[in-house]
Amino acid sequence: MVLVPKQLLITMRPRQWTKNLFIFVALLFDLKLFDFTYVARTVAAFILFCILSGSVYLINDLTDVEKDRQHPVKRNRPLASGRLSRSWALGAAVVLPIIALALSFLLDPGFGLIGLVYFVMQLAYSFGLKNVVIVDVLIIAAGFVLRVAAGSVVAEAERFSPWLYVCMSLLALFLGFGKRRNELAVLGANALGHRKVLQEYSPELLDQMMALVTSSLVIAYSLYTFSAENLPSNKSMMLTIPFGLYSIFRYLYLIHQRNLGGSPEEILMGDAPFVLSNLCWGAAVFLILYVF
Amino acid sequence: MVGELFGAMHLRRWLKNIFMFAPLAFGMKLGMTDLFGRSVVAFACLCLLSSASYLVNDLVDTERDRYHPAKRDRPLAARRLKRSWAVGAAAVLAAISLLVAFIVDYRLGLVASTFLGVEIAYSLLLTNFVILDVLTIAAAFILRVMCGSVIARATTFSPWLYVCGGFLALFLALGKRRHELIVLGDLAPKHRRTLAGYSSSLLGQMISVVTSSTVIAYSLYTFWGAHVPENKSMMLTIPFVLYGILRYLVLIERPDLPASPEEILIKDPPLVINNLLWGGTVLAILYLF
Repeated sequence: MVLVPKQLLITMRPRQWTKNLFIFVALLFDLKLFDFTYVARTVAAFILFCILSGSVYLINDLTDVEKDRQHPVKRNRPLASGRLSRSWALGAAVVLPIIALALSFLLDPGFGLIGLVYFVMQLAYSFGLKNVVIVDVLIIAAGFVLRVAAGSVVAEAERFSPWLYVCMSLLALFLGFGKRRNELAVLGANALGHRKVLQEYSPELLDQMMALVTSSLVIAYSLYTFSAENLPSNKSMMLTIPFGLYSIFRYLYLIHQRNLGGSPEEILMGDAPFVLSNLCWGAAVFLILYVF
Repeated sequence: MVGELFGAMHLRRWLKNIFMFAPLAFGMKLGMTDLFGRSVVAFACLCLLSSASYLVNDLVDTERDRYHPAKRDRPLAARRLKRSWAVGAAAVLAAISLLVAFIVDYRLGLVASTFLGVEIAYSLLLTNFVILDVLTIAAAFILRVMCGSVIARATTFSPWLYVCGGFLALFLALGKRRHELIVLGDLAPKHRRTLAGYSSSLLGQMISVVTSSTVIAYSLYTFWGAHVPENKSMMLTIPFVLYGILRYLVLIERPDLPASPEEILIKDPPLVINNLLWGGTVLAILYLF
């Protein structure tokens, strides 16, 4: 019990917080990366979102504690193993979201509203919607769009293109369906026990859905690079298409050929060509928007 | 020996260089004789340059080609052409065509040099990396279009041309790999290393991405692009593009056909007729109405 904060932190899954980096997208594309006020506001928003999303995991683990004790891996989670007492977790699960939401409304009422919607949506996901086919992935995608929207509100973005919302939603759907496809491929017959909703999906169905969202994503991003407003008039943003395309194809490759993709966060860190391509994309976007 | 040399220059693949005329045709400049003359010269340069790169490619791949049912008959793989001849010819062709390109327009020289660099980098290195190999092929197509753009003295940059051309090139390259997987089966990776990295389902996914993107980009071009008629008649050409892509999808599934897109594009009557109709309709809409 000595390390309550540490066990709390583990339960709040800091690894999953990388998803909250999407809050910075608006800052980057609205050319405010060097504007101290907006950077500070966005960093604050990022931290608040981490607390909010972490609290959802806390609540999730609290309700699942009995079930987790039966699971070969999940039994080692702080709550299931008893390293974190239920009262501490319960207290944190009530206090942390309240504080985070209150601070969010103080930071910006619009941001507070988005944070509230996000929090409620994630709870709805944990307590039922994750078992509803298609809706489960749509909620994951909505989570990304809300992060981007939150970033856009706190950065008071004026030049943030609607194209980017479309791209971000499609990207999120792509990652969501990719995750389901990997779970099906890796878990096989055991898929059902792991995630009930997987019985509704088949590899063919997921391939169809992925083909749909991937094509839409590629074409939406391509159109963005040359038809969005507030981009360099020499269309140099088109030079970033190959990196985006490579990353998407590489991700498909990892899912199909290496049976990876189960957790996008780990792929994001683990595959050197993929990481390199993303860095090149980021560097190219940065150079084109800020330097030239 | 000269006949064998021509064989190793893959004259049929020169067809790809026709992409170079796209900026001239779609920029409404096909009737300008001076530009057209310059384009023909540039086209010749590109053809000789690509032949130089094919020679390099066959020199690098000689051993691997011997495993391939069709490619083992290539002049270098079959030892009918001496390697020294091939090396010499590649050097002379590259030197002459680059020289002419720089004389015509120094920017053409620069783009053409990049083109040769990309083609050689592909043969020596990039052909071994999954995904990167098809992206490099698409890059070479885009450089062909850029050559045409320089020659046509294009004043406005046409993003559609590059997007449609790039996705179409990716489609042809991915289709070729899918066809090779079907024809060669287990031997596939021996012939092309990256085929170990591609599977039928992965290629299927990638092909659906690039085909959808080509169709959407082309459709948007027909009513948003530069120089298209006010009455949107360019939209009448969409069915041809759709048919061409779908027909090609059917053809790559058939193991009895040759693997290279150039040959499929020449040898399948429905596809040939469709492509001619498409070209004719585009030219008629742009220039007559």
